[in-house]
Amino acid sequence: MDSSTLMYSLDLVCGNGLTLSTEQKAALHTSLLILKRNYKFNRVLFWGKILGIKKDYFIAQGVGEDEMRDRKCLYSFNCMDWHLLPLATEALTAEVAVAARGRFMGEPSHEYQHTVIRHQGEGDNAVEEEVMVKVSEEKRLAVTVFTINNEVAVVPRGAYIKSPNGIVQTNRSFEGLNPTEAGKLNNYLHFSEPKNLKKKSILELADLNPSIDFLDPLIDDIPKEIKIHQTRLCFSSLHLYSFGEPVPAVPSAFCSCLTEVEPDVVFCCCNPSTSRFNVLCILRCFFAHHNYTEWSSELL
Amino acid sequence: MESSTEARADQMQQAACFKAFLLKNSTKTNLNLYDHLVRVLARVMDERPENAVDVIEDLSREVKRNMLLEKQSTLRDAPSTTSSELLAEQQRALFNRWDRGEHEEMETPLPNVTELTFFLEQIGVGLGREEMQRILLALKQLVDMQPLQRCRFWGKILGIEGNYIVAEVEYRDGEEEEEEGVEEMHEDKEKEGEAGEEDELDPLPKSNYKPPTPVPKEPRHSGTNKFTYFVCREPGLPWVRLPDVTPAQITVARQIRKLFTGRLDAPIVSYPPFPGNEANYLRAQIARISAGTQVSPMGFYVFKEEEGEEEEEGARDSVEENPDFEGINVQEIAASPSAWVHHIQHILVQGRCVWVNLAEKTENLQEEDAEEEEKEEEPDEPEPEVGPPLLTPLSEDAEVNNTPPWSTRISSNLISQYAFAFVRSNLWPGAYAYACGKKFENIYIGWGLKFLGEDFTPALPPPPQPEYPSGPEITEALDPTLQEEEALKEAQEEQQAALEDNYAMDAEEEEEEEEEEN
Repeated sequence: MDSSTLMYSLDLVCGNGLTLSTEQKAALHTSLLILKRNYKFNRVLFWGKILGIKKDYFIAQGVGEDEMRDRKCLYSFNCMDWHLLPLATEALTAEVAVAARGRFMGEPSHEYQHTVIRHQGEGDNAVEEEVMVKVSEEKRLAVTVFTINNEVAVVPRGAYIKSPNGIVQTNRSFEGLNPTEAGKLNNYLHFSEPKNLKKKSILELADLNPSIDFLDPLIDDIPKEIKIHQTRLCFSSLHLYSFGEPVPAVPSAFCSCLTEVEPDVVFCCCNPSTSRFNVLCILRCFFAHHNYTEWSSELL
Repeated sequence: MESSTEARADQMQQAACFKAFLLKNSTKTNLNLYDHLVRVLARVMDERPENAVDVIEDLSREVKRNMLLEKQSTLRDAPSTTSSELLAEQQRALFNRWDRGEHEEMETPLPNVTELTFFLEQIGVGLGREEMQRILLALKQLVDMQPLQRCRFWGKILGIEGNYIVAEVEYRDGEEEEEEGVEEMHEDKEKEGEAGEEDELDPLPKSNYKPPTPVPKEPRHSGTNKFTYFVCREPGLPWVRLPDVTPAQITVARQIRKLFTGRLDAPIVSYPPFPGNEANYLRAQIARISAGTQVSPMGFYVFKEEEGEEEEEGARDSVEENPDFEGINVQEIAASPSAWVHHIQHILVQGRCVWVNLAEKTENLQEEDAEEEEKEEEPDEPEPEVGPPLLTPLSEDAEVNNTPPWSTRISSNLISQYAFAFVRSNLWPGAYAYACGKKFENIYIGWGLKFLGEDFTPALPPPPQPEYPSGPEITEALDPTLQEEEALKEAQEEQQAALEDNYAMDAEEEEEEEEEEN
């Protein structure tokens, strides 16, 4: 969620049990402003926190010109000193998936080690080779944050528009979804590079508005175990959960659930309790309230 | 003069008639020409268009169209009630003030949730102040309705479709409604039903499988059933009392991993099969979470001192508050988990807190009919399971996959003078406990699943049972070929011939003998 509205938007998403203490909120308010100036971000979002055994990570995201692609992640332990996270490349993601196990320790230099047996050659020449994969926790953190963003960042349809030159920006005239619309899954889009959009037929594409429907809608997600549920305390709300049964054999992707808080406010949270990353729960929120749009996420 | 006045009156009359004609509504559009002309002329006066005479037809048509447009909006608002409106209706009752005649100044079991909210917020946990306030109101409703001695906000369990707010209560002595009689009745009925089925004409083959004797349930106010739990989906909705937990449910709950749906009557589809529905599963998970994560600062509770029976019973199972508890220094309690102790009994592998010897019980039951057998083979006396005793420090907790089970923290890094300590469970994500001065509290807000540290592998079904013992008499053999058959026939014939020869020989010998005798 936007650092400037953290104070009151946090109250809307703490139904899952996690919130920030007053001290942390105050510290974030101060430090994120400085961060925004130093890194010359357009705006800074508080992304969430990842609980570690010794210490907790607080994650912030700086947004540049392009709302979707131009994002940088930073982490901090004390909500004051921020460190840039490395980029999550595909190779790094694969390494982390192999090596990282268990809970986050809360120590960026902590090394996860895992020995993998790789087969080389074929037939009689096959050689088994033991390869030690080492990944530092900082890299794991980067990959985890990236994967969560990639798989479960969700925005309501129309909140972001794509300009003709390809830049994604917030839609200033977006006023939120009304209660009926908020109950439909095709009104929520994945806020990451579209993967299925190009596979659609021309007939399906004909109905789409190119400036709004440049993302994958949630309704195409697999598995289709999406439940719509309409109550949350103190706000009219709606949860869309897409985490099916925890199927243990398949390392399931991060799953998401969405919540609409009041007709105008939407947030989403996800629970990848069975994911291979062993992150326990993520809370991710989107607010679309009257004239501003922002989103936040929290990871536990 | 008269004629002129008469003529004028006549004209007036005619005009009035004509006006009445103009005012006559059309049967088609329900408009009349008079009003229409008034509107058109009024429009001409307002707009003063150039060459008004040329555009008068257009103006007229436009005026007519505008009239029609107005009539279009006769659609009524579709009454749509959102679920939030329904919920608001139900929650309204929470905010009613019940004015009773007598002011109840007596001690109320209502917990101080406001204080809890404050402390939880300091440690970065909570549901938001407004929700906590509603929960407090809901708990007040519960306390007003039930004769409770103790009530505590246990926590919140999140589910796919809805969440559960859980209250942990203890009834006042003797005022608890008994439900157990009803259950027994049900069992009796089931038995009768079984007996009835047996009378049918064509009896089905009966399985000689005897299920292992179920581990007996722990009675109220002890072990896993020490407290009674009430849940509700949202504050303001009715509180539902959860049934008591049985050891079988706990054992199965340990082997499965299911998210809660939010409906108490939802079936639990799992392997191994869970005995009961979601209400039972919820109760089993609550028992497991309580046993694992209910902790207090060391010294807050002491063992109850019972006269006479010291040292006799190995594990003492009840604790009471220590009146001399002074509170623990924050630095000390934050430094290591050994300053915290469990105050709820550990649940054994059997699914009970107090171990019960199953073998002994079955022996007693079968004593009459199987006394001799017993003498022959004495069943192995099973080793009694022993869990860690009450008030064991957290540092003794077992690690799971190199994950320390608890993380200790301090609420504020900057102002340590007023900070307080809290612990977070790493095995049950969402379980927290804080201690501030003489106060402490436990809370659980989470999905009700235990941390595994690795991918979960469900229990595999047992290998299929063989239908019959496989042996040579039922093993299918190859059919003999023609040659083999003929060979066998020849061999048999030879045998036959040999036998016959023998017989003949024997007969001859016998005859000879007889002849000799004669």
